[in-house]
Amino acid sequence: MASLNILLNGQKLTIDGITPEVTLAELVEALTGEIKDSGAAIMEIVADETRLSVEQTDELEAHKLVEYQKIDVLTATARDLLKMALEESGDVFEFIDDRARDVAADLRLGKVKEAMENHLETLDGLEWLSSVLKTLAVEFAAEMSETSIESRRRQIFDHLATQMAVLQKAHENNDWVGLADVLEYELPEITTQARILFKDLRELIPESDESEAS
Amino acid sequence: MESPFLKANLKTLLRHPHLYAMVERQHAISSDVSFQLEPSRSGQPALTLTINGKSITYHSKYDPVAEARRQVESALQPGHTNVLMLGNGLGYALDIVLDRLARPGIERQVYVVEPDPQVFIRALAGRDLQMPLNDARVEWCVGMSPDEVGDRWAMGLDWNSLDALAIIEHPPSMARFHEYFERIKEKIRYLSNRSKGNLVTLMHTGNEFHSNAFANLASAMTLPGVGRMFGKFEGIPAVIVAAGPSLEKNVHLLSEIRDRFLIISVDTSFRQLVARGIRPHIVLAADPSYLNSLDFVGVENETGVVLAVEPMTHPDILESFRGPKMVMTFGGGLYKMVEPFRETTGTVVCWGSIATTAFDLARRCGCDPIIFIGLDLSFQDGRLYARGSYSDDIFYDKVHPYTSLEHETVDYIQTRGVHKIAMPGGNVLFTDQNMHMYRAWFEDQFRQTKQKVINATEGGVVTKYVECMPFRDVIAAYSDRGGSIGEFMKEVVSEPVKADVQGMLGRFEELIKELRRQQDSLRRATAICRKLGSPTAAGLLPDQLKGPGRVQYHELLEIHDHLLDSAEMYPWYATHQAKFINRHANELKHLRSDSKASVSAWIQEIGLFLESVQKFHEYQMPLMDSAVEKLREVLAGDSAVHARFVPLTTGECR
Repeated sequence: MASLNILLNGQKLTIDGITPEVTLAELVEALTGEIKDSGAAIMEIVADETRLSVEQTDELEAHKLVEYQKIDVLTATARDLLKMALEESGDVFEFIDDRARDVAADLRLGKVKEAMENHLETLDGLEWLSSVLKTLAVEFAAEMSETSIESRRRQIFDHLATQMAVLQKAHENNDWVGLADVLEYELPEITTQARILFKDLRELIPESDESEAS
Repeated sequence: MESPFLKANLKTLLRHPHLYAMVERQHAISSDVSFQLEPSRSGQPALTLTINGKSITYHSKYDPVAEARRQVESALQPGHTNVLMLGNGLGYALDIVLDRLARPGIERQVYVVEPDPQVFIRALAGRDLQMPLNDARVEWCVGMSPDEVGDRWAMGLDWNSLDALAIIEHPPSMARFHEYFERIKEKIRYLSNRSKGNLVTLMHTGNEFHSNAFANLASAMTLPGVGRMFGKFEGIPAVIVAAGPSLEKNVHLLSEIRDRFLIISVDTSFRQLVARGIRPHIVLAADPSYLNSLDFVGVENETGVVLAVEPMTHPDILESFRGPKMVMTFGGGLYKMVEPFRETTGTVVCWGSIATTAFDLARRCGCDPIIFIGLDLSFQDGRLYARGSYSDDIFYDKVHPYTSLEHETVDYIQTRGVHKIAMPGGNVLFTDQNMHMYRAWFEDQFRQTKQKVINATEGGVVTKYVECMPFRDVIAAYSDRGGSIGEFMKEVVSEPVKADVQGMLGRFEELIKELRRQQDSLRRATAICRKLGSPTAAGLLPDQLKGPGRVQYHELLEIHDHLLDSAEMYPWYATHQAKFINRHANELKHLRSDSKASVSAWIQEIGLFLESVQKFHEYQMPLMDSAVEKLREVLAGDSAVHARFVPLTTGECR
């Protein structure tokens, strides 16, 4: 073990009971227990030059610590994750808008099968947006409390929830024009408002957050 | 249902009596579907249906016009000449289609199929539909069964003008009436396949049809119509004698039922019947070609047989046949002009083969059962038809010392027999493209016919929706049925026809005046073209023209747009100049969309149009003069062929 360095976000870490025969998956499991009170979660492991997400369980189980000289465990808090989501939101909104437009166009021409293939991705995007909007209220409560952002967030969240319910109902009824209407005319309003909200929110986040996030 | 549009729309709907009556009936009917007409975000009404508690949006609640535009753009291309709209809803897509198709267009160029009359009523209530309802390019099929739509399509469509068909679907209607529209698509696919053949035929023979209709005008006016026979043969068996090779197997049995069963012969089998000493009660002829007129060579003096002709038939047949004659109509040609001036002619269907007409005639007469013999619709034993038909004469002409009649026939079959059909008994039969389609038509029609249909051909490929049995057994089974057909047919043809020949003559004289007015405008337009074609004006854009040049240019456009406004004359022109008008419509579209199109470009295209009208006039004027001359002969009692008519009095006019 003398030659193995285990780091947590770049800081050297000593863990009792870890032997070279332990797998990366077992390391993740052990560390998850250690950091759970901090509100952070393990996101990635950099084992020498190899980057492995915590979701790559098969890979993590297949490799042992003895195979590496340096293992850096990267963690993030919910706030960090939200910040990342805000940073990446531009691309996601573009994706949602494009998909929604394509699905609506297909539905208006009666191409239901083609539309449904893309519609699932649109729904994934909307679920993501709904989840981010919901979590913002908890993680950025302080930043939003003294501005209009919280009320805007709530409005967008409610609008989105209403339209997602309409989408679901239209889908159940095979009301494809109704579904296309929501995708083509309601969602762009929501994503536009959410874009502005996220931009305003990014500007409110203190600089110090930047280092914490990294 | 209170609505600012309904009253005006209903007034316009009177143009379409069947639609008006249907709307009146439907007003009183309650539906298990509830309809909500609400303004969309863009202002136009949107329709939502609630069916069993489920809400279905028929048009976008945000921008129904933009939605319809996309639906039209996805299907309608510049080369499309005709449109079939499956589902109309509130009619947004129809507006766009009518706007995009070149004017003046063609009658029944756009078929609108709306299965739900209640939706149509909401459209009348929700939007101003006066323009599409007044537009002769639109044929409305509302609340009809798929078969009725197919028949309407087949009967009413101007095949001559059909080049490429666009099908525009209204997806919510398609989803709601999935099976209905699938059935219509199936019918239209099959009809359109048929239409390709029809179109090619008409491109070549359209003028022949038209010329024959004029040559036979006096007969069309004064001969008794087959409508006199409709419904008069209830329960009487009819035998339709087609000319397939199997006819030889059982044709002799006809002598056993002569004068008990109505015997209808097609033109091609007539000679063969006469050669065997059998006289049908009625023989049908409708082919415009000279070749088919040869079927009547040698049988001209069969005075015991009634010849029923469509006015588009080759005039030689009418002139040479000495027996009693009747007239029937397929609903095209000059039918619409003639019909108001005479007693009912009697409309029958024609589906390419005259056997289809024979079947429809028997059906309309009320005959039951309807029995076919000689309906092979396939090649049998190396032959196309039963021996003795004129096709043998045609093939015989090809025979030289190194070939034979059989060889020529087999060569034909090997080239055309593209469809191989395995029959239930293990036989494999070959048929050509046309017969393959006739077979599909017959089987489709048998399914829809309330009378019993029996195929006693004892061969061939027609087996679906029909009882197949030997002719001998059919005769035995219906030995107790029948009546004095011969006597009845004598009465049918002897009653004088009620016709307003003077009125028809007056109408033709008006049309000749209209033709002369057109010629005056044509000369004026040609002179303007010459003036504007000078180098100074021709290079300018139309907006750059000043003074008299500008005025003349607009006068030229005015003449171009209205020269052929005549409702009768335009379809004749469209028949004669079918290829040109399709090309011209596309050229005009390009010019209109090109802001840099010069006066010269416009003059050149309009010049071509004027030339095409000139050609049409040169062709049409002698036909009109000859028709008028014949009508005068009829009035003067000089015509040897058709002088027996009595004036149609006021109030009898149909």
